[in-house]
Amino acid sequence: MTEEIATRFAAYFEAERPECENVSITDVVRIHGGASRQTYRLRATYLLNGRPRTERLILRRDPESSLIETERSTEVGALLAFQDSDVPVPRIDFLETDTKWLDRPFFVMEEILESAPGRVFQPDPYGDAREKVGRQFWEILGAIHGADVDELELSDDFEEPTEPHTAALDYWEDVINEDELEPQPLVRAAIRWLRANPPPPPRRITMVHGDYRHGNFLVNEAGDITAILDWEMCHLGDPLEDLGWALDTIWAAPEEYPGGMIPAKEGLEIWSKVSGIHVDAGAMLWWKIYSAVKGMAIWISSAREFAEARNMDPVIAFSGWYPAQAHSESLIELMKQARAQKGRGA
Amino acid sequence: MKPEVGEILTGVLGAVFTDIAPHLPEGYSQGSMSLIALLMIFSAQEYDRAADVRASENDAMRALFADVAGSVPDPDLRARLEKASHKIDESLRVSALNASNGGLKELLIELHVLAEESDTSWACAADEMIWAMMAEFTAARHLDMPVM
Repeated sequence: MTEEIATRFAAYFEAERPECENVSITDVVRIHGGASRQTYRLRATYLLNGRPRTERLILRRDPESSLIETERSTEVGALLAFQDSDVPVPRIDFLETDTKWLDRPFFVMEEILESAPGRVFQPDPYGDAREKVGRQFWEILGAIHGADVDELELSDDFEEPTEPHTAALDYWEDVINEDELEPQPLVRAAIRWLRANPPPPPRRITMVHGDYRHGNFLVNEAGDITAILDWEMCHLGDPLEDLGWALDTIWAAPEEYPGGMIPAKEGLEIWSKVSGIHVDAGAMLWWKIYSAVKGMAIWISSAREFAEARNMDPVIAFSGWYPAQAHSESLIELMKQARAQKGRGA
Repeated sequence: MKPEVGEILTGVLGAVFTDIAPHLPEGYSQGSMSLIALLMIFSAQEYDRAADVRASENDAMRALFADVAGSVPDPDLRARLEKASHKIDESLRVSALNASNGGLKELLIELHVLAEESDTSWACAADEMIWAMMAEFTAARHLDMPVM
């Protein structure tokens, strides 16, 4: 498979960059973990004006089936919007929707060297760099939310929702309706609570990363965050959506230093300072419950993909099982808080 | 059958981690092998309890339906709750238990919606019982993640 990718991508590279000669694509390695796209690391070598050049690249190709149905143009659009900003993102080199090259659409970006993501289930993933990484984590999220969406030069893929919380919940409830393999009493009860107890409207509509969390950014040995990745679910909406997701206990444990970084209170203060947005504690509970429901929707889709043999990658089987169980446990705890506010289940 | 399925799944993990995974190419192959190993660990946990978890859930839902059916004002739902409460699981095959579990959970959702919409004492009590039940069901399916 990797040899085929090398040969076919070399042909594409030559066609797109006719100024490059003797193009060779080598060291193609599929990287683990991309549940929404197939991700390959590769090296492109070529002659430019007679001089040898090498580029280390990441190719992200749409799978035949995916957990998250998103247009790669949305992901690329967000990455392009934040090039050369306070939000570190990889440089985008190619976006190709013509399936003649690699059977499915793909995009290519620079490989961020000497950096790695923190592992989600590893205790203390950042070690001594915990505070440094944590401060940047919240500063960068503040920068994403502090950006004026009118100045980001976004494509028509990004629509401004009238009611961000309704649009977000509608989307994931539809996914659950379409993909559930078995009735979900807990998730349905949580959705009803979310509908009955809407959050206050956001102070302003911002870019929402959609999957901003520990594990979705790269860190170098010095503890610098070198790239924010995985923008597949980005959209315009309520910035608190990202806060709820970032603090979701499924990846933001333990409570003292969520995601192996800094305490939530300290992180939210940094975020508020950078974004200029106040955190509404009542709204945060709504967005935390929403995050668990959204997570469940993704895991429910995953279970269906695997059960129907549309995607037999082990990560799909894992996603349909362990995170779904973890999010169910998280929903039980969150709904205890929600019901206590209403005088039930206290 | 000896060894038991759970023992087999956990027993071969040593070979996976020491003899197989290190010889795979780094990246996707090794990452996938680690996930397969985790799935084996979870499968071993589930093997022992799968029938018990499902049968217990089914019994609990039937008992709840028997308890509250008489107070349900909607005659159609009341009749379906009563009918479901009288059934028993004749087979302990997981597939059979899953089928009845799915039907009972659909009824549970309907009952919960009705209970939420009412302030009567039976509805408040049913709401509390359903939440307690969902917490128990969730806890019973907990998966122990090994330290990585």
